[in-house]
Amino acid sequence: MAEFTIRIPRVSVAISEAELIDLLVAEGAHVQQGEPLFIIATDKAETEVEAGASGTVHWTGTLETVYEIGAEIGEIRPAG
Amino acid sequence: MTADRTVGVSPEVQRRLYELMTLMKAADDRLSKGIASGELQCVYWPPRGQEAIAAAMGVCLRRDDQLVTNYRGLHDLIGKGVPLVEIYGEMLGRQTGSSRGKGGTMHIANPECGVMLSTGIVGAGPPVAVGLAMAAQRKGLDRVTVASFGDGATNTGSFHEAANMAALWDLPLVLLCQNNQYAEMTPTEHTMKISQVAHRAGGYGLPGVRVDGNDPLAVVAALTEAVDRGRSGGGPTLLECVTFRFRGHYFGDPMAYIPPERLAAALEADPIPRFRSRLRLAGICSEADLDEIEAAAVTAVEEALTAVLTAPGALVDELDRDVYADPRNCPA
Amino acid sequence: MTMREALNLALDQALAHDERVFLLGEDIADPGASGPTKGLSTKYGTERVLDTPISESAIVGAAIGAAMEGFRPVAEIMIMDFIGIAADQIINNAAKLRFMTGGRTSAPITVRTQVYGGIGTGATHSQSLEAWFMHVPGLKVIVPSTPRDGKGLLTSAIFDDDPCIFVETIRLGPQRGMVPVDPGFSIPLGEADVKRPGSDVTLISYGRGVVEALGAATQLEADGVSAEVLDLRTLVPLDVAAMVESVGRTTRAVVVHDAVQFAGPGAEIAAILQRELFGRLSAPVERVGARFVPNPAPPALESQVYPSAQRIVAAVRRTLGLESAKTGAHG
Repeated sequence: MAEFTIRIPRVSVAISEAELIDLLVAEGAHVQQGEPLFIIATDKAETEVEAGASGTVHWTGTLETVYEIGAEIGEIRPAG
Repeated sequence: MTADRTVGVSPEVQRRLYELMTLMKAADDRLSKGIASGELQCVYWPPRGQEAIAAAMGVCLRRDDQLVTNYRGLHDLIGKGVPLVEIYGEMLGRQTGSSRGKGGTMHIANPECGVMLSTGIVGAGPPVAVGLAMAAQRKGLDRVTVASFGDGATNTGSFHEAANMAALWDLPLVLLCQNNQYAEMTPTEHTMKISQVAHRAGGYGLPGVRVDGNDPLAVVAALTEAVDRGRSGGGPTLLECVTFRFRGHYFGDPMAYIPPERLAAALEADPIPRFRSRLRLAGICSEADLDEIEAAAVTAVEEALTAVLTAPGALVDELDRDVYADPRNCPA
Repeated sequence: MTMREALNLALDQALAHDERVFLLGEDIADPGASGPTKGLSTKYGTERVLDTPISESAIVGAAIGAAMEGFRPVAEIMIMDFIGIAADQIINNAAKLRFMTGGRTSAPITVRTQVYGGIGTGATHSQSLEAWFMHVPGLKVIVPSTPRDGKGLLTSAIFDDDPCIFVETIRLGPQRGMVPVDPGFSIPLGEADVKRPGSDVTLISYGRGVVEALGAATQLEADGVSAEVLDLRTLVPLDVAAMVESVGRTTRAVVVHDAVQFAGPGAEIAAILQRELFGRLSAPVERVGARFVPNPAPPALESQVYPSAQRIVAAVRRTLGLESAKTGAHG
């Protein structure tokens, strides 16, 4: 099973960027698919984003940073 | 007037209806999950909740009958037989997409399946459907064209112009309104004085029928009648199918404008579980059959998505193709 | 303050300041609103912030009728690609009423619309069509690039006696900047603004293009090239004096815009410059606009279509004779 790339999701149509405001799973910790993983904010709303896969989380994104939609901010490495 | 007569629909067709509805739901579920987690990157206007109407189209229309749909057309496309690999491929910008990835979510077409146009502009489809129906009429074909649109579209000038022309020329056209009770963020009752879209038909001199869009058998009955009228030269029909869209206007829409009790009532009337229990009670499908159909839908969706995610992205030189028939006409 | 908040404030103050002002458009009232009109119907009621059916032609036509009777309506066309549906009302009524009736009637409407380009929404939800309306006598065309300009220009547009097409840009929505909150603050239409002084070349732009031009200017500075960035702010009226003054000094010009380059606003600007400054230009006027193609949906392709700092720098180098003068639209 390949690593799952964590990207800023397309949470709306009329947006081009979003700010990473909270990481809900610590670096190196395990996450279950569907569990809350991080929170982003656009100038319209805040959105809690779920994990797209299960495994250990490794972050490359940094908090309070504005990213383009689709930008890579980490990955989930499947266990084993 | 509400058409509630349910024509005898064979068990095979009823099973086919359920297969189509579950495939549409599975395709929407997987796409929504992928977009929400950031795994899939695309814009999307979810039709979840409107599957019964598209499934009815799937069983009532021949392959050579033509369809003009819109940006909320995932279910219509599946109903009319567009391969999921082409739909997902186009939404996710892959070369396997129906337009080799450059058209995107809102502009999927597959003439071989009869899907001639998906429009991104509300109400822009019906006039084109008039032209397609006119062509069929002039060629002497018994082919029918269906224009699929929402309640909001019936407030556009282009819809009125198309309905008038269709009636005037007795065209083989079904104006199929999927009334999901919201035009973008505005409830239908705030966008028109009349209570039913079907009542507009009188203004053009064509029959108007309103049915429960969440009951596939009711839609099949009304659509069969409309299609037969078109095929036999009896002219167009305005068919209003009352339904609801569960995921709002665009994916990620917080739906603040929908009162919770209205959404709850709509979810209660979800066409899929309702039709599932109906099939079981009628003895057409066993519990196991239904589970198998649903599992097959999920499998088909996963296979299609895997194929698309491993396919190469749209090529940059697509920018130089299809702007003109002959690229030399490109001035710059 | 963001551009969205600045435009919201301009609309808010216009509604508060003048009873004649009202807004109409699709999903502009709460709770459905998400753009610059958010919150205004809660404050001023749904009579003055009016949700309409999806009927762009009638939206603008109704605004024209109300304006003829002394109101100051601000109609919204949600996405610029939809403006074609209202084009007849804009082109044949709004633009021409004053002339056709010998001044006895006029349509001082404001049509706000938003360019969705550059966010992967595909060919029919991304176009920059301001050039169409530059070509219609009787219309004014306004394209702000900063929150401050947005507020000042929108206030002027609302109270201007001519029909105004006010083009906003989604990608500029989150852009932040200092904005005067004084309700009386406005920026005259037809006044360009030097956003960055320079001496070797003038980058002429408007709207989002200004952001790319400023990025290019920074890169050029590292190469020892001093680029001036002139923000036109309005395309009609066009501040020819400011263009000629700036390019007269730098003797080189690159025009930048997200609209399609061929027959775009840059073509008119270049024609004026070569006529006014013939013999004093060190190089032909360069243009960096969108490629001549319907916008592709995939972001990877769409990014190839629009001006970038890199394409602007290449065009500047051509005016400096540092690169081969390639022909063709896309530098």
